[in-house]
This record gives sequence, structure tokens and C-alpha cells, in this order.
Amino acid sequence: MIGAVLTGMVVILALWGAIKTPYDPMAMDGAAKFSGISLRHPMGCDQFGRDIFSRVIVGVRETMLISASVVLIGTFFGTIIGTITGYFGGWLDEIIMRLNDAVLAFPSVLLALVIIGIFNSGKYQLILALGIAFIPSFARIVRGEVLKIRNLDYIQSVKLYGASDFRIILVHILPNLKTVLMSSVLIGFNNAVLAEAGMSYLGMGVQPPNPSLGRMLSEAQAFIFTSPLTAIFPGIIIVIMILGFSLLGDRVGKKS
Amino acid sequence: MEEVLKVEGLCVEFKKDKKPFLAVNNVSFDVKEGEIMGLIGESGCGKSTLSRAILGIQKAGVSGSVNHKYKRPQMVFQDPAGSLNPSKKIGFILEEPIRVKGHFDKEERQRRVLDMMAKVDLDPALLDRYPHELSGGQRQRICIAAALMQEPRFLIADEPVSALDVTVQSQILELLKKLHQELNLSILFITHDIRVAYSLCDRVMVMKKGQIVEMGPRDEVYFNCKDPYTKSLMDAARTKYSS
Amino acid sequence: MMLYVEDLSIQVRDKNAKTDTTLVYDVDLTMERGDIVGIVGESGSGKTLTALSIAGLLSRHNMERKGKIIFEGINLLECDRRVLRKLQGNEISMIFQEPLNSLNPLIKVGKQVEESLKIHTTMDKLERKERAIKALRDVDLDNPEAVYNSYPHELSGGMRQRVMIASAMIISPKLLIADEPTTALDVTIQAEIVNLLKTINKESGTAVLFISHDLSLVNTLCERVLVMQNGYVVESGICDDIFHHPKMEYTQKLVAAIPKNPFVN
Repeated sequence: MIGAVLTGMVVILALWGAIKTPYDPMAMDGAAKFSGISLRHPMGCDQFGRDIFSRVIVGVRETMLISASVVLIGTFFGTIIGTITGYFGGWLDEIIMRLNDAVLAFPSVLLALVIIGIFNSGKYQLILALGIAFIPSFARIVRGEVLKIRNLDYIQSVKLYGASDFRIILVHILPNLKTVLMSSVLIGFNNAVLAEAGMSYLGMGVQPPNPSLGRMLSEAQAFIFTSPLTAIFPGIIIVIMILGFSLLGDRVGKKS
Repeated sequence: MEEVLKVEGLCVEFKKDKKPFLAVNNVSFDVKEGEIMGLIGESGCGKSTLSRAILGIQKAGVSGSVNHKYKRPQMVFQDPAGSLNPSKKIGFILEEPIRVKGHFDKEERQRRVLDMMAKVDLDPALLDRYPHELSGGQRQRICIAAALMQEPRFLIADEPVSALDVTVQSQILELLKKLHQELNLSILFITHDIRVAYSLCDRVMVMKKGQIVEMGPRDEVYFNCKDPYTKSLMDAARTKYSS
Repeated sequence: MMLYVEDLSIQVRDKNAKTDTTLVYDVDLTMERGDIVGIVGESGSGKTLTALSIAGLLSRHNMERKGKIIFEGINLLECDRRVLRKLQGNEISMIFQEPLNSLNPLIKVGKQVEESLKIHTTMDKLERKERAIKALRDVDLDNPEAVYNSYPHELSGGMRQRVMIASAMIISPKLLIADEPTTALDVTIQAEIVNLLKTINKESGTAVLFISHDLSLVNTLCERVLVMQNGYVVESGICDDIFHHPKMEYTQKLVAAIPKNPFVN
């Protein structure tokens, strides 16, 4: 319940950010530099006099878009790889899963750094890099579930009807991955939010002057003692986002 | 009379702790047209492995010959919860066997599904439900119905009533008897329950540690067995249900 | 009277739906020392819940229980937890369907058999071991010393159930509750376990409350039986009477459903 409310809040913020912001998030106003909370600037302004509230909602939008794309890439390819290796097994499974293990052995942020090192930094490169880094964990989860399902009696029955492997996977296995995928997508989304924030903080993701939550935190670092507002609001939003999705994920996990 | 199934010298070898281990050891038997053959054995004797090898679900380590007279024998499993796809409605599950075959149009498929529901004495309203909304007995009826959709002439039933309550158990056994007669279905009936096998089978065989130790007409095996293990099974049944 | 259950009802509260479901209604049961009583019912009949509440093992959290369970003068539904725990260690024991789940896989069998002696008596190590080996011998395990030193997974299903019975009997309880103790076992082993329970009852005078879905099995072991359906006791009385002349419709159905025993006319 709380999870749904928190997530709902963040989603509304993101939608708001997609449609209209009170101020142009990039517009600088020298007079408003570091101004505190006021009616005109509900979260104050940063070192260039940009409206933090506007930047936060655009940042939320960016972060959510990036995280969602990352999870989408991870889930999509992870499911394909996991299903095929889990269902067919044998040497194919051995080879792909050992490769998978090799990728899993790197911390995903490090891996993403390497990929960005090759493709340069930027929003789309970040999505690609994190997406690739996310595939192995999804593949592993899906493979485990498929291994379990493949030995269930109903799959054996369908095999006896003479159904093709393709049909068995598509019609009889994939729909039953729903619950396990749901909870891992929500957990994966959280990790993606953190990874995006981390990468942007390191300057590898969204490029200035565009806002993203991680980017904003990184810029606020220099002024954290003199003007804490610049760090507090993006930080709080990240916390709310992650908390909301964690609670939601818990609920999905418990239901199944 | 002709055989619907002829098994000769069937072995299934597993690797257990890197040592080869014969789960099924040189098994030969046949099932005749229109007959219910019982396979009695305790847990771990290899009876489920045997059935899987016969159906070709188990392929690794299998040697010997298995000959089916008819194509596509079907199987009914022990746990009716695990043998139905949890995310599909009953109607879909029953249609699947003939949809896969691709012979009939949608209308004909649905007509056949309704026919089958009548054959297994179930309310057609259940077609719109999911497996978890059904009782254990209803689920097992659905499993039997699904197995019969392709009109097989030979069915393997692996402990189909062991997971059910007694009153439901007797109903399912009655249903199997009825279908056996109506459709002239040949059945290999696998069970650990000596009384259940008695109530249903024409012939029985007893399996122990991968081997068939006794085989013959039902009454012969029950009342005049030669093998000491079979004797101990029958004695156990005698004392357990002494009244 | 050793055990006296009157009007036992068990309600479970569903927190989400905010509804109460009654799972057991008004069960009455009396047992004297040395009695063997059976409770028969299909899944969902409430037989296991009844047994668990007599053993004092139902969580007091979400299970609302009404009525009385009086064991040796103490009402188990109202007594202090410490009193209950003492009874559980000294007077009431329980064995379950799946002995593998009832044994800790990482601890040697002997230690687990001794456990209740360790908690409830002041015996030293040697004495405890001696008693445990004796208990293992009493349940007809060959070579009890070897069993004492083995881990659960090294034993067969039948042996594990014997171990469970040994650890239940080591405190010489007045009441042994057996919840489907033979259901997970092979037929030949089932017969042995039933005979063992009979012998234990005869020799040590421990009363046995035997829960099963199998009426014919209950009939070979018990003197009296309660037949339960959907939380109600539909019929109770002497086993032979009920087995051969069931009065209630449900019991008749239950008896008729038993597969015919080929060895009895």
C-alpha cells in the first residue's frame, strides 16, 4: 500500500516532468543563486540560480526512463537467454552460462564503465551499457525457473501431445515466468536507479547541463555544507523511489 | 488379441555418485489390447522411470526395445496440481492436445472439448476456470480428459489416485473403469497400493529394485505368488487391513 | 480421565479479508490411560488441527480456540506457556507424517533422540546416551549404536519414522499423538510401524491418538474412532461398529470408498 503510494508519487512527478515544468530546468537566474525555499522556488535554487524543483522532476523523468530502458533490455535478453539455456540444456547451456558467469563476476558498474569507455559517455550509451550489465542476472533467474518448470508434469503432457519446443516455450513456459519476472523486474529497477545515479554522479551518464538525479547530487557535492538544499531534494527523491519499488516488489513476492 | 505395447530387455541406466546404477533392469512385458495391466512397486523401485522410458520422455541411458502399436500413447500423472498449466484456463488446456495436432477448426475443437467434459462427468462451466480453482478430484478428471483428447488407444496412469482423498479416489477409479470399457482403452496402471491395483487390473506385475519379480493374471499374483518379495507385500496388505 | 476435550472449536482469522473462518466445530473427545483412539477424515476435515491443538502446538496468534482441552486436570487452552512446555516435554509427544522434515539434517540422530532428556532432566551425558540407545532398541531398530551415530539422510524412511517414535517415547509420555505417521511410507513399512505403535501401547501403557485418512488402517489399530468432515465430528464410537455398521451418510460413503481388500471376504 505504502509502496504503491510512494511509487505513484514518483510516477506523477515523472509525468509532470515530461509535460511541463514551472521553470526551464536549464534557465539560469543570477539573482536567485542558492536562494532558499520560497513560494516561487519550492525547493530553492542551485549554484547557477536554476530552479531545483524543475530540475528534480525532469531528473526523475530521465532517471525513470533510463532505468526502465535498462530493465527492459535486461529482462528481454535475459529471458531469451535464460529460457533457451534452461529449456534445451546440454553444451549450449554450459557455454552460455559460463559466459554469463564470467560477466556476472564483474561488478555491473565496472562493466558499464568499460562499455562506456568504448562507446563514450552519454544517455543512450549509459542505457546500453547498464542494459548489457543487467542481462546476466536476469538470465540466471529465468534459467532457474525454466529448469523447474520444464520438469513439471504438464510440460511432459504437452510434449506427449506432440507440441513443438517453440510452442512449449512460448505458450506453456513463458506465461508462467510472470511472477518471478515481476519481482525481479522491480528489484532490477531499483538497482538500475542506483546504477544510473552512480554513473551520472561519476559523469558517465546524462551530460550537463541536462539534469538527472545522480548528476544533480554530483554537482551539489561542492556546496553540500553551504547550501544543503541542492543535495537534499534529489537525495530524498532517490530514497522515495527506491523505497516505493522495494515495498512494491515485496508485495508481489509475497503474493505469489 | 494383440499387444498395444511390447517392451523387451528395457534398461535405464543412471549415474549415481559416478557409479552406474540400473534404475530399470532388463524389463520385458506387454500390454494387450483392451487390457488394464497393473505395475505394483514401492517408492524408488523404478516404476516411474520405466513409464517415462516407455513414453520416450526419458531418453538418456535407455537401452532395449519399446514397441507401440498405436501412435501417441498418453499419460496421467500423480499430482493433478503439477500436471495442469497454472496460467491457462481449463478450456485452453483441454483444447491444446487437438490444437497442437491441427486437424480441426475452432468449432470442431470446442465441440470435442464439450463432449469430453461430459465423458468425465464435469460441468462445462469449469472450462472458464483456472486449475487452482478446482478441487483435487476435478483436476484429476481434467488430466484424464486432456490425456484422452487425442483419442489414444493406450494410456499410462502413474499413481493417478495416490494424492487424492479416499472418497475421491474411488470416484476416479470408477471413471477410469468406465472409460476403459467405453473406449476400449488399454491402460498401464502404476500404483503402490495393492488394493487399488486389485480393484482395477486384469493382470499385474510387481517391480522391485528395477526388476520385474512377478507377473501374471491378477488372482494368480495375489493369491498364489511365488516370489518372496511379492509375498511380503501381500502379507503386509493382509495385516495392515486385517479387518 | 487423562484427556478430556469439550466443545473444541478453532477459528482462523484472515487479516486481509477481516473474516473469521471456523475450521473445527465443537469436538468432544475423552481418553483414558492406555487408550488408542483414531481420528479419521479427508483433507480439510480439521483432524490435524484438532491434534495440533491437543499437543499445544497451534500458534496462539491467529488461531482462536474455544472450549476445553483438559489434560490431567490442566486446561491446555488457558494454562501458562511454561506449564504447557513442561507437559509437552514430559507427558505429551507427537510424531508427524514426514520424518525427514521432523529431523534436523545436520545433527546426529542420537543427539536428537536425547534432546528432551537434555531439556527436562538432569541426566549426564552417558546416562542420556544409554537411554537413547535403549529407546532406539525399543523401536526394533537393529544395531541401535550405529543408528545413534548416523545422520538422518543415511537412514531409510521407515528407520527415520522409528527414530521419531523413539525420540517421542524416550520421555515415556502418557499421550502419543501420531499425525498420519505411515502415509509417506511404503506398504510393507506401514504395517511394521502400525504394529510397533500397538506394541508400544501395550507395553508402556502410553495412550495413542492416531490421525489418519485411512479408515481401514485406523480400524486395525484403534479401539475407538472419531470421523470428521469439514470440521465436524460426524460420527464417533467403537471402531468395529462404525466400520461395519456406519450410521451417518458420510461415514457410509467413506467406508464404501475403501478399495476392497482382496484378502478378506
